[in-house]
Amino acid sequence: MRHPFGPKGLLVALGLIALACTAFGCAKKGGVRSQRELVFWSSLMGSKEMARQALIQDFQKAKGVKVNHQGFFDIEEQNKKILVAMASGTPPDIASNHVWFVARYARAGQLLPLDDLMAKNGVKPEHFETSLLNGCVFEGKTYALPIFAATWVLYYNTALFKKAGLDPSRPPRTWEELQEYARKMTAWKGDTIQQAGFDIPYQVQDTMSDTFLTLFYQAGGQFLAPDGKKVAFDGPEGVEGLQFMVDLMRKDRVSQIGFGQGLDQTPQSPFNAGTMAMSMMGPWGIINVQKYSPNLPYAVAPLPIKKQTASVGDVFVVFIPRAAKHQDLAWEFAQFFLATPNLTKFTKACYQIPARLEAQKDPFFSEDPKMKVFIEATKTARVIPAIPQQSEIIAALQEECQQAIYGKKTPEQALRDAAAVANAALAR
Amino acid sequence: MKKRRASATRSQAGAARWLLTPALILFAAFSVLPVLMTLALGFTRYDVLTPPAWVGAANYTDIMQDATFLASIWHTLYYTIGTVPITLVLALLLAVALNTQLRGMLIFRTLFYTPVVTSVVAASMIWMWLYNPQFGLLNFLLSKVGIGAQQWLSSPSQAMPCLIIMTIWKELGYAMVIYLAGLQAIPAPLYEAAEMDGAAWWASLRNVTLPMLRPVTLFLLVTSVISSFQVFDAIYVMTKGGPVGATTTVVHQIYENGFRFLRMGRASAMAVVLFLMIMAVSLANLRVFKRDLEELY
Repeated sequence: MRHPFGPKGLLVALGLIALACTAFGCAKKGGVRSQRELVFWSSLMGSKEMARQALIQDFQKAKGVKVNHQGFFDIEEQNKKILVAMASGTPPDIASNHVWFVARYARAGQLLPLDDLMAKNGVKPEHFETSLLNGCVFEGKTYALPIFAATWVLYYNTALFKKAGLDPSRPPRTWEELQEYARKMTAWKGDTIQQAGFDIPYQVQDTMSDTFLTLFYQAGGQFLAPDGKKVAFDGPEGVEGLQFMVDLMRKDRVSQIGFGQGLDQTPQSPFNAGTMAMSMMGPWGIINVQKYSPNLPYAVAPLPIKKQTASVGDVFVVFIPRAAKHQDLAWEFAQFFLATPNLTKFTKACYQIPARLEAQKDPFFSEDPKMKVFIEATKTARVIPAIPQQSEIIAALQEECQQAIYGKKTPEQALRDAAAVANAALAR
Repeated sequence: MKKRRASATRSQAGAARWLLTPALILFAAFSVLPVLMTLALGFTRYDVLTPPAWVGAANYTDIMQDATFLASIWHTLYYTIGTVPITLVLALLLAVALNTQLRGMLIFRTLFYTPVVTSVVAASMIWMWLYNPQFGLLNFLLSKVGIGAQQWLSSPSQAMPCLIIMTIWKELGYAMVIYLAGLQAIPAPLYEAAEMDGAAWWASLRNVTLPMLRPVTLFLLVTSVISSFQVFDAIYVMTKGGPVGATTTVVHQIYENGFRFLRMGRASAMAVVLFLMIMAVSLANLRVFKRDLEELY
């Protein structure tokens, strides 16, 4: 039976329909954006979502600008999307993420240097915590501005302190005290740990490198060698730091590989469940305990020290891509975000430490006993210098530290191997 | 009559060409072109943000001397050797067992096939809980028979076997269903003849079932090996290549190098090496089963 239009006619019709659909699709994509619309990509999700929504609403009301926000739960996901957007010339107007990626974007010339805008609008480097701003500077130019930081302090379970005969108002102040206290508060049952004295990471994730770096900085180390071309964490301070971690895990046995696995952000997470006496964490620990174990008796204290006080800080920044369509609006938003009242409101809502010194003076931070500890830690927080190859270096460091924790390599060997990878990456 | 049929066939062929064109364009654009680009990128240094720079065979010499990459090749082989033979053998036995018309069979077949249609990521997360050292079901059951808690995914020696077991659980149903189809294509007279010759269950399996299933086994072998070589999702969700790099596979290395370190040139070279590996193994499989291929045609 022959089709009324014949096979050829049918094909032509199908082809025209396909063409029409494609034309529609293209037309919609290249549509005209309103003059006062800002595209903002961020990873301000989860505990920061409500604060971010409030901020955007305030900005929209104050400036009459519509903000088109796209949120990413996964930091790496946002990094990939921004890379592709930058490579294709259609980046967002402004973005917020961890500071880790700034150097890489800056080196490829994809970010707008902010020094001129800062000078013109009275935004001075002195307004910010120096330690946090340093990570935003690459080759002498400021490519991002810090909004807030998650610095580490020591969380400890006061009930477990009392049970072990320790004074809860006297947390450990040195590495030796930390070791002694941790041993007193550890309990094993046969081959399985029941209560860990101190949290030692054993997985390849950020807590591994952050723990190592904290101890390394406290031992007096610097991330980069003075010439800036090599890393310096394979030196004696690094070995000291990693050896301390390895000893706590393997000799003093204050924790066990596999303990608390997969239990982050649940009531069964060892610290929340009261089976871990001490742990180094950022401000999110407060929110976690509030949410999952509000009756947990705990306190926070400055980190114990070796040679000097040091903490690690994970910094959140805003940056403006060079190819952004509305650079002026982007800067307006950045200024709005960093204005003291707005920044204070934001950081209070999500329990983060504002990077702006003025905002830190708010009673919420300067008078609350817990937040005061964080503010102090932020002053001595060390941020990894802006290095484009940061991802690779930190990944190598995490892998090698894990090798040492598992007893597969000595700390010297592990750090030497990590430094080899890092230096090769830096040389590229 | 013949002439009209010939011209009808010709115009059908023409119509077929036109109808295939959109699909072929899509295939060329989204499958062939990226493969060619990967081949080209393997000779460059490329970090997405800056244009690719030619480096010749440097990526290849670099990765073939990289202990991590070589280890990932070994782990991929370990994983494949661990999953494929056991899956096929178990699937065959299950198919033979379920190849009856009894009433409960449909339920059993469905139960065994269900893991196949679950998402790998979802299944991985459930199994991570089963393997959890503190709260997992497996350690709980072991404790009931007096065996101490195992590290499972945190143990360098146990992590890969854990992944292998999960994969067998997940893929078993698929092979079983294919084997069932193959079994039902075996003519009954063959079994009757074997019975008349006094063959027991095992003998008829060896001399009738297995030989008749050779084409099916070939198909399953080739496709299972190809997909085993490309394992990534379970690794990424469950172990992230650890602990101490004990479960990193080739595709996981491609992901790390390409998307985490932005070393696209290096990742492309790894992808080409993987392609050659799969090609070699597939050709070897086809060579072994050459006879069956000829029979199919």
